[in-house]
Amino acid sequence: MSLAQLGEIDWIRPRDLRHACEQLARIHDEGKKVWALCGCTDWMVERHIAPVDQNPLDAVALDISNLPELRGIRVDGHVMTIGAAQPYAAIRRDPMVREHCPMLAQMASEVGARQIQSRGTLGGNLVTGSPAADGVTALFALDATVTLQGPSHERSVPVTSFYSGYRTTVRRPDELVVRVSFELPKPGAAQTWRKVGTRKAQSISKAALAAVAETEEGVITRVGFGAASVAEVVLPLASVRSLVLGKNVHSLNMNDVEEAVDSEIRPIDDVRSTGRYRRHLMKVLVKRFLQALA
Amino acid sequence: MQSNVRSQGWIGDTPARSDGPAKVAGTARYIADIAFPNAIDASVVRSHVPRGRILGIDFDPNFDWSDVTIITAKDVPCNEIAEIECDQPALADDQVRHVYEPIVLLACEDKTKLQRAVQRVHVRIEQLPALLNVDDSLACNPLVLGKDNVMCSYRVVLGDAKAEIERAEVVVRGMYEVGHQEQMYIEPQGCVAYWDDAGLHVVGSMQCPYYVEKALAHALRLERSRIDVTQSVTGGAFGGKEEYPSVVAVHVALLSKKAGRPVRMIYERQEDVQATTKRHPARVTVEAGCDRDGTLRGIAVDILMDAGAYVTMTPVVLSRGVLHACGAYRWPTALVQSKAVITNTPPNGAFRGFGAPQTIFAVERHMDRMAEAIGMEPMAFRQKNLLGIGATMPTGQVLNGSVGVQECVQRALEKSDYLRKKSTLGKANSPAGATKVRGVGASVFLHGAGFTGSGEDRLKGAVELDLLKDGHVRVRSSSTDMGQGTETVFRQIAAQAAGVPFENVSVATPSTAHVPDSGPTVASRTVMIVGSIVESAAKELGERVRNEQQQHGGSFAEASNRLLEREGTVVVHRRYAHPAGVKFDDATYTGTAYPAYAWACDIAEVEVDLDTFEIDVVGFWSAVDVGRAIHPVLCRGQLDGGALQSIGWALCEEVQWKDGHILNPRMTTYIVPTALDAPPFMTDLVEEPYTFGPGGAKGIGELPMDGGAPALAAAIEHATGIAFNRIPMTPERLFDAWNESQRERR
Repeated sequence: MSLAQLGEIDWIRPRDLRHACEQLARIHDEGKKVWALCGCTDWMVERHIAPVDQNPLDAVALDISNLPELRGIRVDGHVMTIGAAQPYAAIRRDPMVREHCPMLAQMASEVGARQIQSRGTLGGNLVTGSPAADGVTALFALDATVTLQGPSHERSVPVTSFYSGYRTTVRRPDELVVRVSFELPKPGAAQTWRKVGTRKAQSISKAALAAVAETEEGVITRVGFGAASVAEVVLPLASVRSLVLGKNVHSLNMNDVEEAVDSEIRPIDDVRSTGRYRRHLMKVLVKRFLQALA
Repeated sequence: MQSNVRSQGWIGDTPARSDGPAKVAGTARYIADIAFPNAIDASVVRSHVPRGRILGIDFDPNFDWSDVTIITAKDVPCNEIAEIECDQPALADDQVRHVYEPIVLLACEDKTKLQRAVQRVHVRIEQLPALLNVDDSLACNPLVLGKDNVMCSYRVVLGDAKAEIERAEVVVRGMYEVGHQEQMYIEPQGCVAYWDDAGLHVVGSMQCPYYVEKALAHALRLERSRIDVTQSVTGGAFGGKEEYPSVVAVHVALLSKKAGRPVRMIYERQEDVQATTKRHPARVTVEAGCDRDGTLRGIAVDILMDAGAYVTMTPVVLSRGVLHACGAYRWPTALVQSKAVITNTPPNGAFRGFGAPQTIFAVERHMDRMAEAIGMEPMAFRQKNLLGIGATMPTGQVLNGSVGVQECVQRALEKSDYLRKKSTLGKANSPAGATKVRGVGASVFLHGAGFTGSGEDRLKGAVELDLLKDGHVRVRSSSTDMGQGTETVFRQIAAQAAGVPFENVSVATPSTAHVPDSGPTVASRTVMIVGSIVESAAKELGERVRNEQQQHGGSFAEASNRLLEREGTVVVHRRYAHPAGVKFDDATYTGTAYPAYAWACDIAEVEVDLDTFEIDVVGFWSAVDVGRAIHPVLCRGQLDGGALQSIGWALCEEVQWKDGHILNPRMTTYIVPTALDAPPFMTDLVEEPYTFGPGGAKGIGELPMDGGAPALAAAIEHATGIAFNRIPMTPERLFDAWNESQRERR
């Protein structure tokens, strides 16, 4: 659908989350195309470059940008929960995020441009499913849980299981992503957000690494990675994690680490970069993160 | 009274720019913002193959065409876009020469239907073998133009360079390559056309209203008196709106005539990047000889440029490249040969620098290579050989004034602390295993202001100044403001010369019905060439009022009003003529190529991350001989902006091609630097006045585009030991080159 067709589709603004889910299920049952829209930072761009359809579409846009249930950031005990429609700008500025999860604040200050940060959301980033998605990458490192709301159910899935392939997710058509939650890294935990982009602002990553690690007396007790733009989906670098978890930070073998990264990533040549450069980047970013633990 | 005192010093002052408030407040109206009642939108159906023969155009019979205006080649009275040549059709007729070539024009009130209509036009094309790069073209595989695919060729000869190089103690050879560059002005191309009893009106985003008028007169076979072309507020151009608006204007004029309504065509970014002109890629081979003490003996340069599918500005781009190919140095002998070849890619055209950045990159890199070969510090080697007053250039031009290059080099070296950094930074001084290394690099360069050769003499640009009531003055000229500050500096120049306050000078909107042809707004000629006639016309206008004041008393304003009452209108008309002795022979390429040159020295400091191979420009020093800065803030703005554009070209801007298609036609994928990528600019103005420029000013709009790439290449080389002869110098290329160098070491 092209942006020129905006006037041809129906727009619905639900009152609340329940109403939104009902509408979603109804429209889906009617066999219509439906878009749940919030910041539209990807959607508008995609529509802008998409060719016009020859006939008006039987499609509905569901505006979920003002649902209170999808907003807010809160901490319960050690768990932080962020509403799916909370814009990056609010995440970037949130004192709890800045204090407990500076890596996430850093990501939110580097994603897109300031204008994108004012509208873009983690929910949108998750569902769009780009392998370069900055927000998703940070959530991978945090081992976040994604909560989905259906017409009569709520379910949670680990973010690392959320993707079934390139830009495809386990979300069912009648479900909305409502929030993400994760256990906050302990005070003093190592956290990093490192995006190597095409330029210093307004850039999509050539490769990006989000990482979190906790240690106790030199032993790695928690570690998580998110690796962007090195495969068709964001990767958790599971083999690296299993290689280093429980190990002493001084006894890590960096050749093994590099091999583990190497075996897991599948970077390609594209308009932004080359596969071999991306491979190098991911190895060096992971290595530097782990070396800094020691 | 206070105003009168101040009016003596408008040149060199920094009044707020005339176009500033409206742009800051968002009230400036660009072409897409202007409402034209009853206007309809237009779109272009383009080729989809790089080269082919058009067999037919099918309009889907199942589509309702009743409210769609359609134009094809057969509707064009004279199917040519008049530029230097008339080889480019307004719409392809029998053959297409690049993938984005326009074939059919459509206009429709319903914008969505318009997009659907574009899809319902099927152009049947028999694809033919295409020239996708200069190597195909040189190999005549296939032959598509003349006997060798060569579009144009120039040559400069000073003495017997080949023989002198052979006799030199040291000979260095090198090949240097630069790629396309997209102007990426913020406002895309756009024009609106409408017809009334007076004839055709075109309003649009453009640099050169008279170029557009000429193209309209030619393609539509109209009297020029029946055409009015008006520039709307223009959001950047950089050369990209020198010739291309002629194409858009002809398209909307044709559609509007047939539709009987105003027609508006505003390009989307993607279409703009794909179809419009870009900087000419170039491959430059240099062979030069010097003695071990650093004395230059001779240089032989061979330039190959990719013209794209049509001529556009290629001959003059190539010519400027030729005339800057030997750089800012005294060569006793020189041989510059050149050619531009046709390819089946969109025509390349004007872009800030206009051929000079391409050849200056080559000669500056080559100076570094020569310095290395004789073991001299590159800047010491340059300083030994700089041009100066009395020196002869390769065309035989003898420099007789306004050569501030020595001063530029001294100041840039000093301010940047280059020599200390040269000996303390760099790969050689970095500890083993360092992940970040720094380096500095420099370039020295010149840029000729005004049209090349005899261009200004042929053109004879004109301005008119009107005396208005109460002693106000209006400048009428076709020199446009596209964000660079023309309006502001013309007001300053006229205020100072006429002896009136800046506030009392206005500049008329460039409209061919109301302003004389001052020549195009290109070639760093606006301030120096057109500004000089604004200055002399304003001076005369001021004198006429003051004569009246002397004879009959009263204030300047009262005397103006009396004059106007008596004479009806008071207008001073001025035409440009080169200063005596400025002559160029186009046949032999000898003589004064440009009446004046601006000079500069750039020094770049970079930090390279050896983990990620990201290149961070941490400082950029420029010392520039501008003659005289009319408005130092705007002048610095031009210099810093141009330098940033050169940094983009050097480090990240790259048009990627596949089968004649552009793979990255968007701002997301064609990477121009952002404000965060801009280094701190330390720009120093050197003022060696040019006698014939207004207040001594020289043209500087293009100059800053020339020096960034070679300075950065030298800085990266200092930091990493990797010598790039090709741009852009991306982290990916640096990574590959680094690995290569590590392998060689082992």
